[in-house]
Amino acid sequence: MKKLGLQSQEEVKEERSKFFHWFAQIKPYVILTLIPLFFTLLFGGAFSPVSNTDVPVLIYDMDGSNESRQLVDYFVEYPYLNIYESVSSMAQLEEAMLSGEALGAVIVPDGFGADLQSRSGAEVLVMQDSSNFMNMSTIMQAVSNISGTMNAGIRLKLLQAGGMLPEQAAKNVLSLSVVDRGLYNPTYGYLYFLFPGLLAVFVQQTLLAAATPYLIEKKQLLCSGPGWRRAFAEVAARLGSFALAGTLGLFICLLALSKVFNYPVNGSAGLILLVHVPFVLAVCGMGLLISAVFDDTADCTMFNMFLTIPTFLSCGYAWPEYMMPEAFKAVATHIWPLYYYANPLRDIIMKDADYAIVAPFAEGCLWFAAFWLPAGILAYVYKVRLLRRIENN
Amino acid sequence: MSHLIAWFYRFKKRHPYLTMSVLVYALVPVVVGLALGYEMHDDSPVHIPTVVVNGDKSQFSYDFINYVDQTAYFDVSLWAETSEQAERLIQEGQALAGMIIPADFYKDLLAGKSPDILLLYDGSQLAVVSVAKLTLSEIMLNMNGAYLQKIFAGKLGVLPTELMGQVLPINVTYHNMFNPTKSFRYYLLPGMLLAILQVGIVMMGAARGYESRKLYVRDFGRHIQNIIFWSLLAALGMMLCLGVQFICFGLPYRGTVLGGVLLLLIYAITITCMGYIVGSLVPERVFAVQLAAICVLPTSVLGGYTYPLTAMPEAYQSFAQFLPYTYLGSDIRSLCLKPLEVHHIMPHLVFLAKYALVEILLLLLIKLLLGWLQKPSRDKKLGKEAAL
Repeated sequence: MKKLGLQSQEEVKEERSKFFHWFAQIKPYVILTLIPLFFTLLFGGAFSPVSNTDVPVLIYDMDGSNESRQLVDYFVEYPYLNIYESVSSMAQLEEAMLSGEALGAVIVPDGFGADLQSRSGAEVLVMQDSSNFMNMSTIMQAVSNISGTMNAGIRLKLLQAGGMLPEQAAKNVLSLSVVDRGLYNPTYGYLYFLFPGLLAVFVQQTLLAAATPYLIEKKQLLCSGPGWRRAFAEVAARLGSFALAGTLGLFICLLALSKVFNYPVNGSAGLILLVHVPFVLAVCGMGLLISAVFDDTADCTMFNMFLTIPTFLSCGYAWPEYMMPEAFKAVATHIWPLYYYANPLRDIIMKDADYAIVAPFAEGCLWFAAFWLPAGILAYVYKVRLLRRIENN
Repeated sequence: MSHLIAWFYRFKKRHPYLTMSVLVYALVPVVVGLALGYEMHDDSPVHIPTVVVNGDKSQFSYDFINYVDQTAYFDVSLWAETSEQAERLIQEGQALAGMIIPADFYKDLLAGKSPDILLLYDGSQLAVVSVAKLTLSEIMLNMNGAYLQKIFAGKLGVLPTELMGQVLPINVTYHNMFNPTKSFRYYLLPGMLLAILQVGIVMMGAARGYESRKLYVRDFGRHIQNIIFWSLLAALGMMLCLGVQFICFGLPYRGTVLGGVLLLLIYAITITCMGYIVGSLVPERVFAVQLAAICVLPTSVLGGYTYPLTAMPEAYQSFAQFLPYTYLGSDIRSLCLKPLEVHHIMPHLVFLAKYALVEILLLLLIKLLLGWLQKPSRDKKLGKEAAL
């Protein structure tokens, strides 16, 4: 009985080791295809509402006149604000702003109604927490719409009272009419803005996460020796398979974006591949270089993960390219290739950019890869030789 | 060169912790802090490249364009003949905003036909749009006011002293609190830098947890020592990173120092402990590190730091309440920009402390369970050793 139990334990151990081996084999491909999809669905769900709603705003009506109550009613009815009237002093209001309970405050001073009636101009003070831009924009937009509507109504009455015909008065009130058009992103939605950049980062990070552990393990095997030619072919084939899986992952994400979140994916697959292929080559070069530097897979993984946010913030996507200091841009575009991928990907997907717009990025990325891929290979080969020498000594 | 690399290789083998600790807790905070601080030192998008189509060509339209150009925010550097050409320039990325003034604009304005000015924004550049839209709205409001003054004075004979009260019956004054210059850098960097560092912190936690996975409940004190030691280093790393911003790039810090230190310290414990738990559970070192990073990386987005929680679906808002970064991100920015005192952030400090406590209890439970599961094989091993 005991023997049987021991045997089954051995079997369990063997099964476990088989499972781990199988998992190690498929893990890079899961990382390259399913992880980006998971994050696409996760972030897509978070950003899918187009508007910022329920922004907490306090109203302190010191006047209490009919006119001030009318103004308060406008704010209460405004769809994107959550209006509270729970303060009775400026000190309370400032404390609410400080603690973050309120992100904005509308203060209607004493005498607001009287000033409006006497046509001497009434004042309203709007305090807004400008530490968060998205909330600040929502509040400013709301205040601008409400005060604009009220002002237009009052002006209209004044002009008509002065003897102007209603039609003419309306035209004069709307004298300078402005029409806004947000090209490529009419609702100024975060989802539409952010996703091309996120996809670029997904491709970069998953490729590094799949390739570098393999390259480090291979480096350790190469130290003890098979022929270079065969090893080179093996590495190239494996990196090629990772690149293919990464490409598949990208197109799966684009499909998910389009089908699940109705993201209007523009451009053609050919144009996307035009920037994707050089980028993959460039990332392989960087992967080889990183694998040459690191000898421990976990340490290398840590380093790769560190790259996610800094490379995104420095590639000219979140912070506009024209605002980057020239020296910074020169360094950033020569030591990391995301600039050549995230920006054209956005141009293709969002702006339906054509070949003429995309080609300079693809060319830049090819030049980048032309330098860094051989540099990566040389560094990798050099490190293997050095390790062999150290091991032999 | 090869000697140096060989020396470094041997050094790293002899001191595996030291090299990565220096990288994660010192080098990355300083380098990333310097790089991103330098990149964004202009604070907000200004001199936005703007394309203009002036179909009107009257003195009024030129004055208007000059007025826009003279503001710090716009740089009218491109001219186009048609709106299609203007759109093409925006598509190519040469311009990020556009202004289309139609033919006979001024004539129609005088005739009371209320002609439209079309403003175009590159919606793929939200940082620019947020500034451009607000500034152009203010400019148009001023222009409208100036024009209405003429109407009220000319056609209704309103006295100059009464003019403003009738042209602008309700005058709104905006008071931008805490970030009066509307600095994009202040808005983005404090929390983002810590979001970068937390990835390293959780991965170091996972690596330490993995290395200590053979220590069970009996050695729980060692686990606690580990967590406290690495959390202290993590907190110092975060302080170093923010310190670079304060010293080199003038990031303000207006809140309580004690509160800030406590926040970073408790947060570091929370994240290190999270990594430690992952490392204790996952039977492969690399996978443990990757998994720990994946647990923490998305929180910089899901924690509502840049994209507010109020704009996310309710399920995400509820989920965010359980993410430590939700509290760190908002509080660290507030501590930098607002004169907060300890009591303002106390609820979040208490929450994070409870979070860390629950994690430690969870780790205790895991160690108990793993120890119990591993007991037969350990007994067997001991038996074999005794037999030998």
